Amino acid sequence: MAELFKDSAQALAQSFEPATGESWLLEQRRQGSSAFALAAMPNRRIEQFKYNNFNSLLSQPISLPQGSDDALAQAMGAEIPSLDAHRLVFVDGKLNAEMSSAPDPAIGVTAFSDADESQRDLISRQLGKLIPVGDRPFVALADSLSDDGVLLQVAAGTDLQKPVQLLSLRTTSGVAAPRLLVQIGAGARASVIEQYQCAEGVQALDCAVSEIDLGDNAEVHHYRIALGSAEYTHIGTAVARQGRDSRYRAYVINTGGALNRLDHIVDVQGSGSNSQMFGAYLARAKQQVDIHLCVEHAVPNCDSQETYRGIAAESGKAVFNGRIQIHKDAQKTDAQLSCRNLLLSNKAELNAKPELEIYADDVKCAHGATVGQLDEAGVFYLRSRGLSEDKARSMLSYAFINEVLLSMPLEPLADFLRGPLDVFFTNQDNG
Amino acid sequence: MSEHTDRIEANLNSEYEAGFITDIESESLPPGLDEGTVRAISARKGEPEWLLDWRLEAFKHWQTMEEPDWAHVKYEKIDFQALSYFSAPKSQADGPKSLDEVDPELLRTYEKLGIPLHEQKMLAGVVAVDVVFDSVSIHTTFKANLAEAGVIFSSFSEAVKEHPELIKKYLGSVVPARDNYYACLNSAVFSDGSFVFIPKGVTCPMELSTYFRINALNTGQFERTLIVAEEGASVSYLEGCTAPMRDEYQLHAAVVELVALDDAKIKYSTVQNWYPGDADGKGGVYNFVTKRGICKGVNSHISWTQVETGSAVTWKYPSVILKGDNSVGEFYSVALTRGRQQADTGTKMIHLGKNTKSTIIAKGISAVNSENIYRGLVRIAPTAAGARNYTQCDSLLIGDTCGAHTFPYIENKQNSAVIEHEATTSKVSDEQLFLCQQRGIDAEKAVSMIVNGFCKDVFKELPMEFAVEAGKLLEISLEGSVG
Amino acid sequence: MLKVENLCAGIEDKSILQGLNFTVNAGEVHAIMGPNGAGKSTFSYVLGGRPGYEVTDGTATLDGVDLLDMEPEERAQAGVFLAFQYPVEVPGVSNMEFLKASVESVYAARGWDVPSTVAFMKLAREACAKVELPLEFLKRGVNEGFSGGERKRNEILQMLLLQPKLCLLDETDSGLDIDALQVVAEGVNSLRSPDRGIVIVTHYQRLLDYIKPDFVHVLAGGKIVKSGGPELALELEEKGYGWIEGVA
Repeated sequence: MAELFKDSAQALAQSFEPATGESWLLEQRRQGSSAFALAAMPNRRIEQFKYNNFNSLLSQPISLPQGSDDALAQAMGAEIPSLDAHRLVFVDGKLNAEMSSAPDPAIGVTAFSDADESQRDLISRQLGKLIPVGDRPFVALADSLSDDGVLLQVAAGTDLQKPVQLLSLRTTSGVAAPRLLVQIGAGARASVIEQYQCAEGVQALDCAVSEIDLGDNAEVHHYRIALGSAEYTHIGTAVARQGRDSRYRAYVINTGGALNRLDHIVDVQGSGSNSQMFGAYLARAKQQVDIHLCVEHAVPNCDSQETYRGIAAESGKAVFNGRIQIHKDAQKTDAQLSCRNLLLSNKAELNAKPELEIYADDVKCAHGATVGQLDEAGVFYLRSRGLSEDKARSMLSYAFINEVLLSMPLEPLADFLRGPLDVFFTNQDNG
Repeated sequence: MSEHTDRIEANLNSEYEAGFITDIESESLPPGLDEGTVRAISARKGEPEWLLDWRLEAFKHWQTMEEPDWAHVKYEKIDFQALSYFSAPKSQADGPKSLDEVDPELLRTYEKLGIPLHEQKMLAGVVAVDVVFDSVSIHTTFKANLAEAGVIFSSFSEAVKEHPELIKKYLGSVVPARDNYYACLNSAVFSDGSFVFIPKGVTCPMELSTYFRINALNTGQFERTLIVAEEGASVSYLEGCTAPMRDEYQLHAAVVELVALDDAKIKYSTVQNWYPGDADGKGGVYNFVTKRGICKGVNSHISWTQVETGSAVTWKYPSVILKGDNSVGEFYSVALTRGRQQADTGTKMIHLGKNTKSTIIAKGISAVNSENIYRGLVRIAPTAAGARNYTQCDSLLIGDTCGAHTFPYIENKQNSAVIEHEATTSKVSDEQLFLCQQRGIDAEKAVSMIVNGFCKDVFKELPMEFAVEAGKLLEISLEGSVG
Repeated sequence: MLKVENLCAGIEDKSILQGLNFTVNAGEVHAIMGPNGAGKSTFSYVLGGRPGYEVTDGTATLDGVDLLDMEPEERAQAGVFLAFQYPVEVPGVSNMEFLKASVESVYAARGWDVPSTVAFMKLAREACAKVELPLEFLKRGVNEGFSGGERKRNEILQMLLLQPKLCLLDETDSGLDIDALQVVAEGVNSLRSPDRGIVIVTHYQRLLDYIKPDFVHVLAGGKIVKSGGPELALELEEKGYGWIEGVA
């Protein structure tokens, strides 16, 4: 069944015309193509895809987006009010200069398609370096379609006040593979926002791959938001590699979409580092939402905190797989994962798998996972103060994930998210 | 690495006390596995046609299956053609006899192991024992006393002859012949095992116990245990296992099925001390076992308790299917690995009935170069309104060359279910040892205390005699660990 | 204004209230006292509409409108305020957000002007001052990490804002030190008015030293077994409940 998808996807790499020109990402595309040719297509017998249903995606051939609808892109409400960020907007995989911020030489950011010679050189050397393609078919697919994306370089010691935002919008069907490549120099600081959205009724596939390399003592706030419409498939892969004494904060929101999945890898390669990940994954209607987190502690004296909240309502399916691996040399690691979930309907499904894989003895590791319902005493308390049952329930559900929103230092972003979250929480049919 | 840990490790490879070989003449089938082997086993045991057919069908299916590779263990693949599938001490070849006729060498074996077969030597009336040596049941004690209460406790082979209707009804009803690779193999070639039947309303008057020992070289042991507790019945069953030290791997692929009807209660405890192999990972038992119980009736209760200290490789997930409303499933486990042992063990709790409850307490202790894995599944079906699960998995590491892993799967489709899972990892710290020593407790005693304290929640679930044995086992494993 | 007739109710097949009759007129303060297990909390919960309690017989009306048929929020909008014995913690929802949503819902239902955000903030700050809760409590999660006394003061704060017709205080004095008790009592007293009824459900008469009731009732075995004036409370304090059960 998956052949149709696979064959058509393989053909794409030959047929498309890169915005970045024919030559300089050719090697990446070639390698991606051969990896993709060898890759097994996802199915339930493969552990990492156990809880995903890829049937509808894989049962049909895939194509490249034919043009794009810029007016629709403008009207999608993806703009974050009062957010002062340097923005690069891609509509159906192509850079949209009009919606993007004017180039600012003070910020070391460029679209791949605008890259100069030295930037091209850097991109072709670094792209895909942080991600082991291995058994990741969608990374291979993205590689085979390597084209435009965002390169952000922050020089050592620079405190980049202005957040840099990659906004990817989909207005037509087909596959797009936007890339983000971030290099943060030693002691530098930056905020990076990735935001993916798809217009209603558009059957689009995004294979988004982002790589963030943190130098020694660097600090990054990484926001990653994927808001799906009913027929959108989002398969994201994000990797952060941490140098010595670096600090990585990630804020992940996945909600909506036929299938909305993020594979998030945090590769702690420098001792003295701290990693904090906050995430929420929310599914209602017939959505499938999935976060696969993998934290690799390779060196000693690091700590990480993982805080995740999941909600499955109506006929939604929410999946969390949180793996913490403590390698042999990673003594004195302190890793704490908390994963709490609400299952609000009897047609919904919630799968949680917090994993610990530990090869060092002097460590402090713990994880906790719960699945439950809203506190009925709380519901009654709110109702006794005059709130409707729906309002009481949505308020409590909201409160359940509020920890994730409150953790975000960028308030305009948290405020923006309250809109789609309100929509998510209200008028649920969980009967 | 600290000096303490060094010393702990240096001594963790203490002698395997049950490692002697019984010098006894055995009658074995030649190595090799084909349909003829299955027929020969069945013929050897004089089995009825239907059971042979059941075996043959399992064998046919097994040939189409692939050995599973998802467990977090590495081992030399088994050459199924190099194994012998049936071995019996020559003197026992015709099946169990009265104790007077049992080969004295065998009796000495069990005395050495601390399993007395002479009833008068046992604590009167406390434990009834069925003893399985390689492929056959040697002797079952206290049969008469049990029969008085209406309890059937016999070797599997005897039960096939004497209670075919019960075997026919329940065999494969919990673990179907095709369930998984090893269970399917077992269904084709199982040799013997124990059968327990507790009729309606009867509380079994004593603890029942089976003692398994693999002796023969290159022999696989494939026993089957089936326990049925009818309405309102209850039973506590204990299982112990040892094997001699041999350089070759020995395969143990057992199947245990438990059936609890309305209001019935089955408590199944295991102390598993199969030979773990030497410090370099040579030899030892592959313990690939399928254990599953079904709480078929309302208010029924199945409880698994296991203390696993042996085996080179363990692949074992005693599970409960909670079908009856208000039924309860429990899993209490201590798994200690050292040397090059690898244990991938845990449980599955499948909630189907309303208000079903499960508790999982798993303690893993990992030392030297071993790998200790908890793998568990809690699945709540849409029908299981009001289901509850509580899981606590803790790992204790001793030394920095071992691994401790936790792979819990939580799958929920019921919006009134509440599931809680917690896991922690810790080590026996130098500070803890120092504190104990400073208060006058020697370090060896301190480690033993800390480990015992760590396992307390599980030990208290064991029947008294086994709790003592389990504590002793751990102590032996950690013996002389700190100078 | 509140009229309860022959109220029979219970939880999970256990019948607790067994034909309770009780009337409150506008402007009156009633105290319902009784031993543990008499049905005091059940009575509060049934009037508040807590799910799980089943009314098997009888009626309860507020100004002639059937309460028992209403959802909990409709009762709140109609003017019933239940101050909880154990106010629930709602982590993640800020007190301010909660109060605002509550005021908006209740005021709109009653046809009152919904205050603007600025006006609401002013109201909330005044109410805070009245119950002596520092303003930072408005930012914290509802009752999250509040002490017992802070929770009770938070209840009175809500009551002040919602301006109910009928205030139902369920064991509001439990666990309060004398200072908190005075603050709570002052809050309640400030709400005494000719068009409002107040019902204090309590085990001890201590609170009644600060909120003087017009009538005192004894609830035992699921019904009112004795009614009287404030002096009845003192009598109960002195003689205990055994005496009254004997009378009943």
